[in-house]
Amino acid sequence: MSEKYVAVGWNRQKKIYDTVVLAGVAAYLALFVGIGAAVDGNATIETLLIRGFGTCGLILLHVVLLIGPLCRFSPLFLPLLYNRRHLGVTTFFIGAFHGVFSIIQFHALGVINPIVSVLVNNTRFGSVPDFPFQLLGLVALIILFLMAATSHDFWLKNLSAPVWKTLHTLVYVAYALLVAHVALGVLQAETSPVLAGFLGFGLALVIVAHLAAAIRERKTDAETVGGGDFVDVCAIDEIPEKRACVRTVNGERVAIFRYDGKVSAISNVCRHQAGPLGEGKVIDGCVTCPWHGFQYLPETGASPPPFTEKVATYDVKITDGRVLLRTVANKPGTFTEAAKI
Amino acid sequence: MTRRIRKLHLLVWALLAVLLPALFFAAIGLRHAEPVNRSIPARNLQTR
Repeated sequence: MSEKYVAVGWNRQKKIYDTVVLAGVAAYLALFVGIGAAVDGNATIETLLIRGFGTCGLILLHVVLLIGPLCRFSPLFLPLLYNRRHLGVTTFFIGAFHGVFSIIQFHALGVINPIVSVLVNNTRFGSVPDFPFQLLGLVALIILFLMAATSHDFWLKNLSAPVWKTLHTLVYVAYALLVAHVALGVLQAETSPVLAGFLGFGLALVIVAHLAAAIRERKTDAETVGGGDFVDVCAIDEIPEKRACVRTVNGERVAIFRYDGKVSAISNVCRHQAGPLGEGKVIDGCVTCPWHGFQYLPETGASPPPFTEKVATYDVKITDGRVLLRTVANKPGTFTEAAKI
Repeated sequence: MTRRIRKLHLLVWALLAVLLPALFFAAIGLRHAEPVNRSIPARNLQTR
């Protein structure tokens, strides 16, 4: 909800996050190269760096992919989500270093352009053990570049949240390509079970986490209520103070907040990155998105000035300790009087 | 709005949950066997 364009809206939390990530990457690479040189005396520094950057990028991508589903299960992971884009951009750069070192090592000494060499030197697409796996890595790197380049609120605003979200789901394609890149590449030569074991474990972890999160979300969507003008959505006592309960009404998720002796309802979808507003809380009188801190006034669904984001509001009333919600949403930013408890 | 994305997410991961493990095991199962020089006595072969 920045008022003007800034490359990175630095704050203390982001500086700590980035410092920890960069220090972790540096420590990993130093350990990998050091131990690698000690264990395999024949490995050159270039080879160790290619392997180090490759494994580091793959580990980071697994972390990036696990943050989303883990946040569906516990708010403890939300601080990781807050700056996930920084982690994604770091993953791209680590992958780019791996790619550049590999191209220099394996393709730069011939008579044809190194990039052209990557594209044409192996065309055995029908063979599993001899598959041109480097192409898979190159395509994945291009996807990660597109995502890193658009990892900014400028692009989010100009592309619109749905388009931006859809573009960034390409990370799943990049992940599939990279699993294939490793399985058809280094695992064809590396017969030690260590690398295969790590990749298999990471793959299982990511798949289980995403499927579990998706099934859980599906259950929430299935709890649809609707039909009449107003529907009974919950008891007042079910809503903790300054928090919300989320209900699906006519296919849309609605966050019903209780605060200062009142109840208001707004759309559950944040205008920024479609974050779950109902999992946030009321801070300084504003509903605050748990993902990136975007704020909305509960009675209007509008961000406090000078910001301009707006979400839909819903009429609410209270009868016999039960919260009743009008099934039709008001236009984003429409004032609706809060129901008094 | 997010319901479409959630459906896409479930569909994609249901697909990847089948394809990626299949690819992983196929890649390991179909890799080249290490060549063996049968003229060298087994006791002289270095094993990893």
